[in-house]
Parts: sequence; C-alpha cells; structure tokens
Amino acid sequence: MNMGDHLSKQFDAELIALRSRVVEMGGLADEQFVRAIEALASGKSMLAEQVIANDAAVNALEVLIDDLCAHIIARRQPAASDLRMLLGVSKIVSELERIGDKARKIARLTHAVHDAGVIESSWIIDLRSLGERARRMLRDALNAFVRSDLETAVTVLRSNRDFAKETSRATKQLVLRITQEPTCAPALLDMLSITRAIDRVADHAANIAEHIVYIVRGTDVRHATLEQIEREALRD
Amino acid sequence: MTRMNDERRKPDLSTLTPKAQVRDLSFFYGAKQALKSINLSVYDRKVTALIGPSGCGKSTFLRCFNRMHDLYPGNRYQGEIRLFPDDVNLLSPQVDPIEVRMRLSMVFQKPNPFPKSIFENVAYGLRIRGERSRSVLIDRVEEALKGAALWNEVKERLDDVATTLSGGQQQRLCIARALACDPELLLFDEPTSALDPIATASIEELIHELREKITILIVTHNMQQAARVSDFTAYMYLGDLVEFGWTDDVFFRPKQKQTEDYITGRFG
Amino acid sequence: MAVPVDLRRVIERAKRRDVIFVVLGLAALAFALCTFVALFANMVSVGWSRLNPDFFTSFASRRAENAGILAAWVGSLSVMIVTGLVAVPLGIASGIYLEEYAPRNRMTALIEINISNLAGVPSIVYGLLALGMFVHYFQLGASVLTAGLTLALLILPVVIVATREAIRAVPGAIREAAYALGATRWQTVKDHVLQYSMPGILTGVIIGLSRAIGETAPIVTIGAVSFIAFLPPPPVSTTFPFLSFEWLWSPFTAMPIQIFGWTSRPEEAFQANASAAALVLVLMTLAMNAVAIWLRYRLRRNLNW
Repeated sequence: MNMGDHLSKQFDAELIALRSRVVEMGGLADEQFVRAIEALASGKSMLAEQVIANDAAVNALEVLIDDLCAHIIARRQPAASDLRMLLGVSKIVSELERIGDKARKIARLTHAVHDAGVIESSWIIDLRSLGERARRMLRDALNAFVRSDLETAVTVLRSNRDFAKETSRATKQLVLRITQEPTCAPALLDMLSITRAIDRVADHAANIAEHIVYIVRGTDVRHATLEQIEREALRD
Repeated sequence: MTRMNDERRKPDLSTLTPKAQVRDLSFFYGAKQALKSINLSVYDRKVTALIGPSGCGKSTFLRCFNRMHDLYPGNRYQGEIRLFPDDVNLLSPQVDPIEVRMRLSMVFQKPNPFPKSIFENVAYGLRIRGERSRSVLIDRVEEALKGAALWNEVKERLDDVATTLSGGQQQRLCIARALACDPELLLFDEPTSALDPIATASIEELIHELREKITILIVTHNMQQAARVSDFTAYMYLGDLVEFGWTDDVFFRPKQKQTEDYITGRFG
Repeated sequence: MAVPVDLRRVIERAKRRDVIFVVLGLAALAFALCTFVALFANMVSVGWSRLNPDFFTSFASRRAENAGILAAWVGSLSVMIVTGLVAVPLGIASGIYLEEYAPRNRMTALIEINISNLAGVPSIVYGLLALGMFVHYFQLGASVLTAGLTLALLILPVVIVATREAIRAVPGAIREAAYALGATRWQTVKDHVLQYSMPGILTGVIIGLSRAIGETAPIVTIGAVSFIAFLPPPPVSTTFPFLSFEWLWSPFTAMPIQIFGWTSRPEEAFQANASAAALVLVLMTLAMNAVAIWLRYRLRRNLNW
C-alpha cells in the first residue's frame, strides 16, 4: 500500500490524523468489548456501567471520522489508493461502531444474567472463551489495518469461518439447556443473546478484514467465497 | 464472484475498433530523444487523454499525429502511426503532411482565431479544400458553429472580427474551425488551460457531445479534467508511456506505482 | 499608511531623481523641436512669398521671379513611381522568401548580415554603381529609369528588413493554426502572414520612399541635370497600346537637385525659391507619411490586434 509522502504536507497530515483516529476508535471498541466480557465473567456491575456509559464516546468518534472523510474528499479530490482508503475507512468505522453497540448490549445483559443467579460458572467460562476468541479476531483486524497486512486480514476471515461453527455449537447447547431447565429460561435466553452478540462481533471483525482487502487491492470482496478472497488477496 | 472482474462493467478491448495505432513511436529533437518507443491504440469514437508532468512528451506525442514537427527543422520520427480504416502510416515520408493535416484537426492551448471575421475563420479550412460555393460555405459554417455550441451566440454577428469574442468563445470558434473540415481525429492540446472554470466546463461539455461522432485525443495537465472527460487515459513520463487503460481503472486502481504516485499527488 | 521616516526620505530622493530626468528629457525634446521649428519657420518665412500656382507650373529660369519647380516635382514624382514599382515588389518578395522559405543556414545568415549592412552604405556609392552599370554598361543613360532603379537599390535593404521584421512579429500561433488546417506555406503567407504584417511592411516602404525622395547624391552622380526646360513625355499616347514608356528614357531633374541648384546661386531671390522648394519637398514627404499612417491605421483597425 502506497504510504509515500504527498507533495502537499497538509494532505499527508490530514490522512495521518484520520488513520490515528481510526486506530483510536478501534482501540476504544476493543476495550469496550474486553470490559464487557470481563463484566460478564466477573459479574462486576461497575464494569458493565462503564461500558454502557462509554458507548457514547465510540459513537462520537464514528461521527467525527466520517466528517473528516467527507471533508478530505471534498477538498482533496483524492484518487486511487487515497480514495480507496477514505471509502474503506468510512466502512470500517461503521463496523467498529456496531462492535461498540454489541459490547454495550453484552454489558446490559450481564446484569440480568447475574441477577438471576442461576447461571453456572462453567457456562460463563464458555462464553468468556468465545469472547476472547472474537476479541483476538478484532485485534488482528485492527493490526491488519494499521499495517495494511493482507495475510493477517485473510487469517481473520478464516478464523471467522471456523468461529461460526463454534458459536453455532454453543447456541445448540444453550437451547438444550433451556429445554432441560425451563425455569432458567429468561437467563438462558439472555445468554443466547450474548452468544449472538459475540458472533456478530466476530462478523464485524471479518467485515473489517474485507474492507482492508478493498483498500489495498481495490477489489470488493464482500460477497465472495473465502477461496476467492484468498486468491485475490494473496496473489503476486 | 461477480465483482472481482472490473472489466465486466466495460466492453472488452478486443470489441473496440482502433482509429489509430501507434507502433514503436520514437521522436528526436535533433539529438535529444523526446519519445521512447511508444505503443498505443486510439479507439474509434472514444476520448483518450494524455496526462503526465511537464516535459513528459505528451504534447510532442500529440503533434506527431498531424506532422506539426515537420514545420521546424531538425526533427525526426521513428516508428509508425497507422490511421484506420485505410491503414496508412501518417509518419511515412511518402505521405504528404498537408494531406495528414487535412484529415486530422487540432485545437491549441491558447485560442488562436485568425484576425478575420467569425465566418471567415470557420470557412477558411473549407476554402483551402477548394470549396467555392457561397451557399455551401454558409451551410457548413452554420453546422460547424452549432457543433461547437457557438451558433446561438454569434449567428447575428458572423462578420464581426473573431478577436472581439471572449476567451471561451474564441476557443469554441477554434473548435468550430476544426470541425468544419470533418476531421477523422480531433487533437486537443491542453484546450482549456488558458480559460476560466466556466469556459472550461463548457468546453468539456462540448467534448462530451463530440465524442459520439468523432475520435478525440486530448492532452491535459489537469488530471481531474482527464478523469472527467476521457474514456481512456495514458500516463506518460519522460518520453515513456507508463500506463494506458480505461480512465476508471487508471484513476481508481492504477497498475503502475509511477501512475499511482502522479495521480495521488505524491510527485509532480 | 505608516511608513518609517528613513524610508520616506529614500522615497523623496528617488522622486527627485525622477523629476530631474523628466526635466532633462523635456529639455532635450524641446531642443530638438525648437531646432526643427526654427528651420521650418525660417523656410516658411523666406519662401512663403514664392508659393503660388505659378511656382508649381513654371520651369526653372534665369530670372528668379519666374523660376518654378514644375520640372522638378514632375521629375521627382516620375522617379518615385519607378522606385516604388521596382523596390516594393522586389523588397517584399525578398523579405518573404528570406523569412518564410529560406532554410536557416550559414548562407542565409550571411545574406541577412549583408542586407543590413547595405542599408548603411553611403548613397553616393549607389550613384557610382548606377553610373557604371545602368548608365554606361546597360546604356540606359541619365534617365528617369536609371534614377528609379538606383534609388530602388538604395531603399531595397530598408524594405527587405522592414518586411522581415514585420513577418517575424506575426505570432507563431496564427501560423500553426493555418498549417494545422492543411494550408500550404504560400497559403499561410498569403492569407494570414501578409495581412498581419502589412502595416509593418507599409511603414518600411514609406520610410524607404521618404528617404529616396530626398536623396541627391546618387541622382546627381548618374547625371540628373539641374536646369531643364521640358518635361518627360506623357505616359499615355493616342495610339495603341495607349501606354507610352518613352518617359522612362527621358532626362529629368528632381526636387533636391533643383533646391541645391538654387542655393548655389548668389542672388537673394533664388534663396527664396530654394526655401519654397524645400518647403514643398518637406510637405511632400509629410504627405507620404500621412498616407502611410492612415493606411496603417485602417489596416490595424481591420485586423484588430
């Protein structure tokens, strides 16, 4: 990816500022998700409150970054790689905002799950490990963005495919338990929602990886098969 | 997968007919080589833009087409420019430059109407082609002025001296003068660099309309203009053709790093 | 606007120098003008009395009161016609060829230098050349034709240089526009370059003719007489082909010679004649210049550049 200097130092500065904002937002979303999973695992309602409160910051960053993109496009008439970067960033930021939303959702549900007090710690541990795997994908996607690293991006996409199987298994187990213990149903249903949210976070990370392929290669791989994407991203 | 292959959105190049084909074109100003073995197809009824930094040879390249270099001593061509449909080499010493210039027309950077009346300006090309009949001249002049989107502004004052027109009008007059001769290929050498943005926009509109009937080759140092106006873009640097392709591709996903650098403003 | 004091002083100093130059320039101009006005006034005052129709229609005579410039101005006019008809086409054509057609090599550079030099050759040298070549070798005699050819040679460099300069001033953009439409070199020159450069060429022609009308040395050398009592035969005849060229071979006199002849006479009265004739000559020159200026104005207006 072409990171060379523009003749206009001002333009360079604007792009650098934009990217660092994206990294900031990525870091914030990541932190939110980590905290939400931690809150779920530990039951600390303070953490959950924090996550819910901080979601506004994530949203504010989305608005800011989109605004920056629009102004750069208007002022600089970017072409080629610069243009793709701006378009890609706009999409990535949208994914990050949704990740933030999922974190908040998990935090909210945490209350209900722990208040019910009927959940076994082993089930919590399962969810925690799922969450950590999803978090790893998010971190990888963010790293791939910073380094314009297509190999890592493809890894994220591969992981997501495998992850889908995992979450689907977890979902089946939860459904089984609901049938076995209908009195715990409300809490179990909440856990189902949390599982779904974690699955969505992994999807968002995968989407970010697709946008990175777009930025670097200029190819829109949003609805391609993994094999096609691998071919496209890893060629030459 | 449907979106991997961008070429699907545009017709395959093999289905397009070339109007001219440049084969291994080199050009020398005395001992200095200004063009290095250029190969390029100019497709029929499409607009091809030539971009590149100053001194890259794009104007030199354009002026090879109508043998303008023959007017000055010490110039040498190598290679061919073949014009279709009759497949004649425009650069051949056996081909009369006057004939070449009768088939191709050129519009220059600074509007250069003759200091004669508007009518005479447009009619001149026809006169030297032997047209004597006043009524035919009147019709052809009107047609050309309409083709250049100038007719309505000047139809009441065809006998006024051309230099009383504004810059944008003068350039459209030069375009009318070029069109009157029914050229097979229209060469534009930075046609709007001396004009204000509104005049520039009107010329670009005109080019857009003209492309349906006539093949256009345009040199411009304004990249955005190339992006707006052309179907194909060729990027030149120091006498070499670095990249040639559909404008959409060149401006969105250039293949060469040099092209990418130039287009994104990473070097002048 | 606040300007520091020392800067103001610098400005004052510069302005003072400005004023000094204006004063000096005006003084120089005044001097030149006064000189000319004085000469002119002197001419007018001495010769005015002699300006009447008789003066223009009488031949020279030993008696000052009866002497007129008829032969002189007819002679000057005839010679000018020949000069013009020879020098103008030759000069313009040469200028066009040298500027538009001739290749740029050492030979043409040599020619260019020589032509410019020829413009500075003393006119008497032309007279000697004409004496040897036209009068004796070609046996043309001391005629209107000889004088015309001599003076044509004299002003040819002026016309050529003026033509070349005028053509050079035509913007290359106009030429390229013509060529790009498929015009040949001659079409470009005829339809565009000449039109553009005509004012400049005309200026050169008039400068040349103005110089020729006042040249004395060459025509004296070839044998123009200062006392002649008849006119060259008329250019028209009653028989076919209704045009006669006899006047070309006729002996003649010219205004400068007549003036010189009169000033060499001791009598006061002849001085008056000389002044009057000089006045007429000046007016003739001014008239030619006026025609040129008018022509240039008309052409420039049409060209509108």
